[in-house]
Amino acid sequence: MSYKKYMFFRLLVIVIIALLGVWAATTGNVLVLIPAAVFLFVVLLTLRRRVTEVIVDERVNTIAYRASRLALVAFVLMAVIVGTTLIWLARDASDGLFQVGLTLDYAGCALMIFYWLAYIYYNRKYGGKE
Amino acid sequence: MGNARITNRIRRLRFDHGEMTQEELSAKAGCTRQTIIALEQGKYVPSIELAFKIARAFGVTLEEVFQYEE
Repeated sequence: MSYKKYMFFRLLVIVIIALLGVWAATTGNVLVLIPAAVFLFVVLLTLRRRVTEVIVDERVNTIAYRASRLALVAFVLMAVIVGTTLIWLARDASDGLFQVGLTLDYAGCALMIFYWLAYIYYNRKYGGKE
Repeated sequence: MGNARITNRIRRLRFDHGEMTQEELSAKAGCTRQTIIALEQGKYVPSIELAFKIARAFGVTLEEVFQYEE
């Protein structure tokens, strides 16, 4: 199967899932959506395995790495700045803003801890162990 | 990426090999056609592994494809 054909089927599956999502939300049959989505995901994976062209190579991986790193830095900065601002704004009143701010700050910290653990893992994997 | 100090002769070598298409070269080197396009435009510098694969696809040495300019 060519990459173009695969892309067509992928788009088709996305449209079907979106339509199913709308249908499930309007009729209230949310449980039907889950097995349908899993089935379509499996179909998509099967189709992907049949693609003979190279879809992902080192350039795509480099782009993905840089994009994910930028997203990580942007999210952590935003979470810490917005979170701390919300905590500061809610300092005199115990309203929902304080909880949101705290959640954002913790999310930023948790992400940095995950990054640190992943860094240690890959540093050891690629010869950084003494 | 974006490092212009490493240049290449991929376009010239494709021409010399009977106008080999970007698709054919990407299939031989095991990368996408977009990567070949980026390499020819000097927008991407490949890994050593891919550089060797490209050189082998043309049947030449690495230095005949890629040049390092200081």
